[in-house]
Amino acid sequence: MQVLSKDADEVILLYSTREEVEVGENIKIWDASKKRGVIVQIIELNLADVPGIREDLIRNESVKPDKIMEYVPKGLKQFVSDIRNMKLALGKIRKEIVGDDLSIIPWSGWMPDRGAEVEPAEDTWLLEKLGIGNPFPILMGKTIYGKAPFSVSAFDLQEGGTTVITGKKGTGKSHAAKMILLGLIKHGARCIVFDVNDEYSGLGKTIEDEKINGSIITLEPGANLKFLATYIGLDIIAKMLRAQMGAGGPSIYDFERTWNKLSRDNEPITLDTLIQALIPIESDSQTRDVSRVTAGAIIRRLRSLKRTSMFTDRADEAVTIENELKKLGEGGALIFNLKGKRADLRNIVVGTILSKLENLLDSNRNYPPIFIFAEEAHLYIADTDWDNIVTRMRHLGTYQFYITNTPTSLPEMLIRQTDNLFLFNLMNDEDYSFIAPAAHLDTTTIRHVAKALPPRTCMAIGSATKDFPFVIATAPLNYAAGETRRFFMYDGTTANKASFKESDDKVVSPKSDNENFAL
Amino acid sequence: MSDTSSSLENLLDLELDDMDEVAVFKPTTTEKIDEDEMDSDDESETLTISANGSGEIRFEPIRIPTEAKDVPIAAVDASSVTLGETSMGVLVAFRAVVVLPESIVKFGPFIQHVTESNKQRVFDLFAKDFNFQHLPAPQLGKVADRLRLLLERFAQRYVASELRDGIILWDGAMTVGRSRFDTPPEMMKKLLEEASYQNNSVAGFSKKTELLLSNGQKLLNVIEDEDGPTLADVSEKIVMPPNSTYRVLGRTFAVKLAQQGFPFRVDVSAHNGRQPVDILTDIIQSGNLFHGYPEALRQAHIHAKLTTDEVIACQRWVVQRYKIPIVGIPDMHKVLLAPFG
Repeated sequence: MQVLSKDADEVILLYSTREEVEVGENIKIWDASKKRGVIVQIIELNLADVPGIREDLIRNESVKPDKIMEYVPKGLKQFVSDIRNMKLALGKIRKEIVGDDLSIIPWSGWMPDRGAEVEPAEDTWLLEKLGIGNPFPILMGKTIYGKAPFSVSAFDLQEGGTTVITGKKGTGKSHAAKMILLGLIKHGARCIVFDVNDEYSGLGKTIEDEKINGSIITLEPGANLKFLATYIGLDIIAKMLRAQMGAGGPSIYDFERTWNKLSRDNEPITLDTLIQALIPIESDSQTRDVSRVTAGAIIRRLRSLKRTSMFTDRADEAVTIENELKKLGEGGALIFNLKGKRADLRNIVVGTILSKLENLLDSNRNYPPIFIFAEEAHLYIADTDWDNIVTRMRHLGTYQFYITNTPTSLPEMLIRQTDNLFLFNLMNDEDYSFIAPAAHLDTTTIRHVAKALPPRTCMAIGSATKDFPFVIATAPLNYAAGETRRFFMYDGTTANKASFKESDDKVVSPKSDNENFAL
Repeated sequence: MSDTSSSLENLLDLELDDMDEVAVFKPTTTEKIDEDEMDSDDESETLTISANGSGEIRFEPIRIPTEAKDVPIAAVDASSVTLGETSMGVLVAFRAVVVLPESIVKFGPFIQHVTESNKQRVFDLFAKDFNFQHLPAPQLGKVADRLRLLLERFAQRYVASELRDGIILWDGAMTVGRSRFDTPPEMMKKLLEEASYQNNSVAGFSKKTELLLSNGQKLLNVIEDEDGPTLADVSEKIVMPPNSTYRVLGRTFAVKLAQQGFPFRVDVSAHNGRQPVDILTDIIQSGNLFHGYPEALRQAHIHAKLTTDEVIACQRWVVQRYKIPIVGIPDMHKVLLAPFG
């Protein structure tokens, strides 16, 4: 392998078929006489445009090979093949190496001459030199070409604060998120997961099987996740009615007034008592039309909230976030299973949890920080809430992981605040351009490297990798994912269709649902 | 064929002479490879045709019979390059190609290290293995071309034995007697005879010719304005200088084989009682013409050419096999005459 040329921070290396180079691999160019070198990361491979190759290929293509009989010197054909298949590797200079101990420093712009040794940089050496993975290591897998065990430090992930894990469907981004989650649990951290596909509840078994000291608690809205209205509180419910359910100012005013009156009168505050207190206003013909309308609007929304089954009047079946977090003890995760839930319910659940968490962390500065994993966060975080979550909540002690197959759905402000990126293969160029600021890398690298990534392989970059991009193959992990309801079934050998009972196919007469509030 | 194969394989795998004494090897640069590549010579001797102007050359349209005729056509071409200079001499590579109706046979590239001290031995070796008579070796600068010519004659003889009742196309004029280093008349005559044993005729195509009319006009320019397919038999009009040994085997024509085709000089040696015009008609009737040039000959040229990547591979093969050091000796022309060198 030889240096062919250099332009700015890009180096082109020429190599023969006898040598192997891969996209994402690191190459050391070392000038021993000067005790100086650079580390180049390969971002693209090409066939060299060897002089004469075009006419040679056209000639070969014009006649079927079996029609040609050749008398050539022994071994020459291999040489011709080698020349035809000469390759070019385009690399980016990432770091500089100096001194007898080969210290790694930021690149100064210096370039070795063509006589320098060109050889693969050992990943183990590079990881050790850069100090990646300690303290509190979380094993993610192996570097894809050097096969060196690759860990990120939980401390570095925390110091960064915001991590984005992105890639198209089926590339392994959730798998990577689970590895980080389990790693954090192992180190005793408390985590919250907003799980839109019921992918995380199966981790409980993984924890058991792998004897990890931690616990997984799955909470399902309406089933084992119910709150007392008084626990949620006036402010949060009012915010929910306004932000998630579109209630107007006068309706919120009526709601607050009613809540406060019940409170003053020492009456129990539940959705039912609130509705009962508002009904007289709505039905009193002496009341102004406007008041009747606003009371009616808030009653419809409260009834809608009631139908979510997220609220209860019974203290014995109500949960609190504090208690659930406490149950985690020394490490664990609360999984909020949002699979199959209506959009408004998802919004209410997540809005409630985040608001309670914010109050909790704000009111008690000694409360241990929480790591939040949000899958496809755009599905349940309102545009207006992002700023608070990414900036204020982060400072209060919530460290956030966003996992998405649609990076463009994340706000640009979050992308620019991202400290660590785990980038899997993406579909569109637009996605790569959008995510580039999160990687603090040029778009060329992002595109070339990420496009060449096979499934379960990602580029990791950020404070956890000391800003050096590594391509890693994530380690396997056994866990039971939630079941998807299927019509067509195939286990690799037998194909089946779902069967229905007569009673499953009910005939229902259409009727209007007046209970739904208008959004 | 088995004799030919073993003989070829012996020559291909011959250890190169004096390689252990080579101190340096200066490979021909990729820029120079194309310049140096040598193809079959079109005839280069300027001869006059006794016609003072185009009016005295009689062009006749070639009448093409309507019925299709499937005539087996084969073609031969060869090329050579200088791989580079060594401290002892030159490294050369040469290849010949035979395009048969159903297949293509490539002979080479043969790689040879030719020095002043071994050049005659190398020539003798090839001449002997190809069953040709002794030929004096030329100066080193012409070695690649002369070895190429020798191999081309071998390929012409090979095709003569492989084809039957067909037409063999050569690249270049069928002339003899220009130089003592070139193919002697006896060898050429023998090649034509061998072709005729299998009822084959031979046509030599020259893309350019130095044949001039007596008024100085180029022969092929005269045909430019004629509608093709057409031909003019100029055999009788070529004026030989006194005491010249130059001779054309067969009849010489200026031809344009297609309506919009290029003009060529074609020397035809017809056999089996056929007329040269019949041979040209058969070539047209075969339908395989590219701008009036036979496709088989075009393919032979394409496959004979040593492309730059092949030349680089040959250079690398020699360097690795004989562990000789490569040096980039500065090009004297460039050093002394830059930027005009």
